[in-house]
Amino acid sequence: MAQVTCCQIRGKSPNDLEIILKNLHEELNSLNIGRKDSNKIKNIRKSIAHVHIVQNQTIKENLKEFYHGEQYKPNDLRRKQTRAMRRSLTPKEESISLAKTQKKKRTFPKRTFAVKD
Amino acid sequence: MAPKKDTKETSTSAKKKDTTAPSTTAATASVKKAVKSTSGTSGSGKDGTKVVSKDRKEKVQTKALKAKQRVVRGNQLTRKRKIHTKPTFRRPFTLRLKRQPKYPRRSVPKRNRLDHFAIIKYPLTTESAMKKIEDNNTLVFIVNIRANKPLIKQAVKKMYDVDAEKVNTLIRPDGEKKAYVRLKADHDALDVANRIGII
Repeated sequence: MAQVTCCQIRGKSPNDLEIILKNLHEELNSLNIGRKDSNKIKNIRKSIAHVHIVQNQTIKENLKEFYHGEQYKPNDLRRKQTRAMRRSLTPKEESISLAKTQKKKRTFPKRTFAVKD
Repeated sequence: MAPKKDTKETSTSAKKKDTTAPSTTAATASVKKAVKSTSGTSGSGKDGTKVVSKDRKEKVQTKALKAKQRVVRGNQLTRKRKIHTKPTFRRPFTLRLKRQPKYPRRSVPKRNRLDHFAIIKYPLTTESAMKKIEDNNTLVFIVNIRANKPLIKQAVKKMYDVDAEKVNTLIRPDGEKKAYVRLKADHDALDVANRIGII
């Protein structure tokens, strides 16, 4: 039995995928009894994995679309980055300064001088 | 002065609808009437006088309402003190709200990895297993080590449509779990084994 690839199943509906999965599992069970056709068993196991991959990917995609632009997203749909980076100040927050310092900067900017030959 | 002019115009048009000759005194009277009528109906606050009257009405109303509320609530200065009859003070029950998350923490709930396909790995086909099938009406399965007896019972029922009378389990020395599933009297283990493909 040939392996079911992800490309073959991507368009299918979730119900279809469930049926495919069930059939694969049943076949696997029947094969497991004698435990002889190792290649066939391998193909089926991998096919099951591919079906799961497609299922999970489509669900994730749909959820990402659903939560697109929302302020509160589930944690796994947010940017992963690193723990420290997630807790750091945003660029905007970092650029905030006191009115006092802004005034100072404006009135006394860094000046460059050059010596004229 | 523009708004007043408008009212005059509207009043005159209204007057024309009704009756009487439009004399100057009548006109002024009609203006006044128009003012009164619009204030009564609380229309758009064009004229200053109309808005004040409406506000005043609201103020009086809110004041009366507040007084009523205070009467109902009771004066907080003369507060009653609770009488404690016991020497211990236990923390009083406070409001505990239920969680109402703004978003689920996990976008997708975790999939159950121990479904009935994963529980039953394969049936045993050894000689002793065959003996069990024939003599004791039991099927012997190698089962996921994390499965317990009720789960095994459910899985067998779902996969093979058979009711189990009881399940005995043991863990083999090689780390696999073996389950002896005794079927109910109305099932024949031999038939079921044939159907599954063990024999």
